[in-house]
Formats: sequence, structure tokens, C-alpha cells
Amino acid sequence: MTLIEAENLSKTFRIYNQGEGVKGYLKSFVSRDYREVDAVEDLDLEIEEGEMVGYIGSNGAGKSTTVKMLTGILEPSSGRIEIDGLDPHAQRKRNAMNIGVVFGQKTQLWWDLPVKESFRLLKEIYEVPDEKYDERIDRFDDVLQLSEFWDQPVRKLSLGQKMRCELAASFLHYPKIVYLDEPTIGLDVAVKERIREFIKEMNSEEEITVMLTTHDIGDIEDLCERIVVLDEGKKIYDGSLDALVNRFTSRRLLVEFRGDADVYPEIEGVLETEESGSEVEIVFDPGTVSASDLISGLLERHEVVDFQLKEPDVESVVKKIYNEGLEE
Amino acid sequence: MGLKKYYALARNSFRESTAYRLDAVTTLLSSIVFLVLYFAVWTAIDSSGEIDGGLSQVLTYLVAGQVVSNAAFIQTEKFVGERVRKGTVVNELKRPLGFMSHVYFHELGHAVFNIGAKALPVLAMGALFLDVPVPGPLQSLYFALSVFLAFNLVFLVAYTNSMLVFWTKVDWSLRMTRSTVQNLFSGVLFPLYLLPSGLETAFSLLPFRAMADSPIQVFLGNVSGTSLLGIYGIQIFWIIVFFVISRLAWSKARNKLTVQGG
Repeated sequence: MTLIEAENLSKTFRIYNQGEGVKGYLKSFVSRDYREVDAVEDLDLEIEEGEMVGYIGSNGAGKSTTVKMLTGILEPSSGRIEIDGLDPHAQRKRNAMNIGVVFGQKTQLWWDLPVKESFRLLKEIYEVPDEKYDERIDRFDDVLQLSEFWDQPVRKLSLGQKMRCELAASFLHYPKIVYLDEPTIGLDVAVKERIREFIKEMNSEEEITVMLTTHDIGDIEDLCERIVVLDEGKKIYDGSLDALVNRFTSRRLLVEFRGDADVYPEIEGVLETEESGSEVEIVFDPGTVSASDLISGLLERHEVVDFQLKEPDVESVVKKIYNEGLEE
Repeated sequence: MGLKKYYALARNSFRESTAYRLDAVTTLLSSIVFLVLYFAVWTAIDSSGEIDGGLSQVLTYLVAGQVVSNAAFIQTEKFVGERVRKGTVVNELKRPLGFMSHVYFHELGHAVFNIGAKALPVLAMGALFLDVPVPGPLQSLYFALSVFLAFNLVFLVAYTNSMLVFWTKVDWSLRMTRSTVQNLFSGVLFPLYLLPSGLETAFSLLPFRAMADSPIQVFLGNVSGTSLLGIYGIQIFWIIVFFVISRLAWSKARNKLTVQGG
């Protein structure tokens, strides 16, 4: 069942120009020059129930703006959104019952009160019955270890502790969908792993649909089978992570030949080669020739001592997309 | 639909104010300074001529005014301003509660604290040092109801005012402007009954009178029966007016929301 559906979704912001210096400042009171910026442009998106989708793109690509429209906080400039049959902006409060949201850089916890007080309030807001509440808090505690700081005021918690709370808070009412906007930002490796474990568990066992925006390669590799890539407000990729990696990393095969070998003109799909002595590094396009065909082709023609296939690397793919977009 | 969520919100907000006890102490001190100042100024005025109704009534009026203004001390502009500037307003908007309910029950929790930590101590001091007559139980109840209505009106005016934050991104000046105008026209700074009758009529047409002068009249025992209902009626009238205005302001402000950063 399709849970999240967006069609031709756009959001345009007005950015008011302020001239330079005192003169510009004074001028800004009377003349309001502005330019329009398309934060999100003509986005189509469909997410099925139970999916876990990574939403990635460089800073300012429009990820957070999309999340704010899907959660009903911002009204789209144009286009249509339907979340489980509801229009999230017009029916904000009803939609809010079905969703959990973490904005990684904007805490919703009560700064001066013990952690548990923020949770008790959420329990009432989302109308979670007592038994369920106790049961869930216990369960969250097993993975996220909340009890060590349960009675402490939020202001005394470390960033990692706060984020564990934020995450538990967003799942407390077992919503249909949880949106996580940069849930692992600034955290150490151990906390990141705990958080990922928790997200995975909630997704697989409770079938909670998760959409997360992140810059963290680990999050993407660990959690997301499907990723959506946004660049300057436009969707440039939507599909499996593996396919993206295969499409955008030409893969490498390191081969050691006995004697000299001249490989490149003979096999289709070989993009370039780099020779150093008897070792040759072959860069090939996995879309044209598969690794096994390439290897068997080489074995037929040459005497091969050793070979090693270099694994595609998600980080380099993401880096490439951030820097250059998806142009091939 | 449960009221428990609203209670939980007000309760957290009350507990939050207790974390800032020092803040309450300083506000209480400033109220005491005001009382001393009022006493000095009005005693001087009294010695140089005659005041309508006499000195003690002026002092009772002003002490009651301090009680009301401490009980209905509202800083909604600051609350909304911080959230809009930092973008944390998304946390209120992602929940299945209206934004206004959020802010209202937040202020209500603070108000419960303010009554205990500021308004009642001011009243006790007025009774001890300035011979302010404390009303009997029934009259106190009437007074409390009028104070509650004043609280709601101040809230709605402050909330409407705070919607401007979505455009201006500043809140301090909005709050100062509102509270200065409010103090001047509501009776917190000087008794409105001392105004010449033309001016008094003009003041009566403004909503501010219902924010302090109305409950003060109840405190003084000047009203009973139908005139008491009249006072409540005026307060409720302005509450309805500002409720409608604030809803309109919110629907405008919500479309203006851009959410800063991240």
C-alpha cells in the first residue's frame, strides 16, 4: 500500500535582498527586492508501507523542506501530497497523530525538566495507554539505554543522550511513519550504531515506515535499501543503493599477469588501464561487461597469476553526486 | 478527546517556571519597588491637595493592580519569537495540537506559578504594610474569576501581537510596546477613576481596561449583582473579539512561516 504520495511538489521561497552597508540596510525598509528560490522543484515521490528510504543530497538540496511539507508544517507552493489518505497541511492535526518526527538540530525536549517529563507529556498528547507506555519505554530502554539518565534534566545530557531520547520520543506512539531529519548528526560511532539498531528494529518488527535524511554514509549503507537523491530541489535518483553504486562507480579489477599483457583493445567495457610492471589495474564499466565475464575473458587470453576485484565504495559515489550531480 | 494532554502541558510549564525561581524573586522585588514608589508619589500628591476617594483607596487600587498584572504576566511574544527565530516552532507544529493551545497552556502553567510566587505575596505585603483590605471569600472568588478573564484577554492580545514575529523576527520590542501601552491604559500605572470624565470614556472604549481595571473594581467591592455581570460581560466581549482576530492572524502567519535553517 502506498503510504506517502507526492506529485509535482514544489516549494518556492522568497529571499529578500539586503544591499550592502548602512545604505542598503536603510533601503531595505522601503524597497523590498526579492528573488525567488525553488527549494523543491516538481518532485514526485511514492513510498510504500514498511519501506525505509534514505533521502540524501548536499546541504540546501531541499531535503528538510520536503520533510517539512510531508509533515504538514509547510504548505507546498504547488503540487499535491497525500499521506495515508490525508492532506498533511490542511489536516495537520489528524496527520500528526500518524507520524513521528525528529529534527536532529531542533530538540523537542523540555530543557530544564527531567527526561521522563517530556515523555509523560508525549504520552498524553498521543494518547498512549499506561500499559503500552510502560512496555514501550522498557523496550526502548533495552536498545537505547535511557534509564541511566531518565531522571536528569535535559540540559545535563550529552548530545548522544539527547538524540537517543529524541528518537525514542518520535517512536513512542508507534506511528505509521517516522521522519528522521539528520538523526545521527554529530554523534560518536557507538551511539550511531545503537540508533541504527533501534531504527532497524522498529522498521522490521513494527513495520513503521521510515524516511531519513542524512549525510552519514554509515546510515545509508546500514539502513537504506532504497535511496532518493535530491540536487538543487530536483530528484535526480530514486532506486536501490546497489544500483546507484553500480551505475556510478566504474569498478576496478587488479590483475597480475605473467609476462606482458595488452588487454584494452580486446574486451568491450574496459574503460582504462593503468600498468605498473606486471600488474595492471583495469577500470571497467559493469553495465557493459560483468566482472565474471571480464575475468574469464582475461583468463582465456592471458596467463594470469592473481587478481583482485575492488569493491564499489558508497562514500565515493555520494561524494561524486554531491559535487557533480548525476551527469554521466 | 482528553483534557489530560492540556493538563500535562500546563504542568510541565509550571515545573519549568519553578526552575527559574530567581527570576520570580527579582520580579517580586520589582513589584515591591513599585509599591514603595506608588506610596511615596501618592502620599506626596495627597499632601499637596485632595484626591478623589482619598489616599487609601488609591493605594488599594494600585496594590490590586499589581496583583492582577503579576497574575496575568504574559510573555507570549518571547515564547513565539524564540521558536520562530530558531526554527524550533517545527516541534509544536509536528504535534496533533493547535499552536494556540500549545502556547496557551504553556502560559497557563506559568500563570499558576506567578500567582503563588508573585501575585499573592504582593497582596500579603499590601495587606501588611499599606492596610489594603483583603476581600472576603465570596468577593475573592468573584475577583479570581475576573482575574482569570483578564489573563485570557492579555493572552489573546499578546498572542495576536506575537504573530508579527513571523514578519519582523524580533520579539522584545513587540512585547515592550504591548506591555507599556497595556500598563498605561489598563489602570496598572494610575487609577482610571481619577481621569477627567471625557478621557475616562475614551479609555473605556479600549480593550485594555478589561485587563486590570475590571478585576480591580471587583477587588474594591465597587460592583455587585448586575454591575458585576456587566464587568464580566465586557471582559468576555473583548476575549471573543481578540479570539477572532488572533485566529485570523495565525492563519496569515502560518503561511508566512519559512522555518529557518536545517
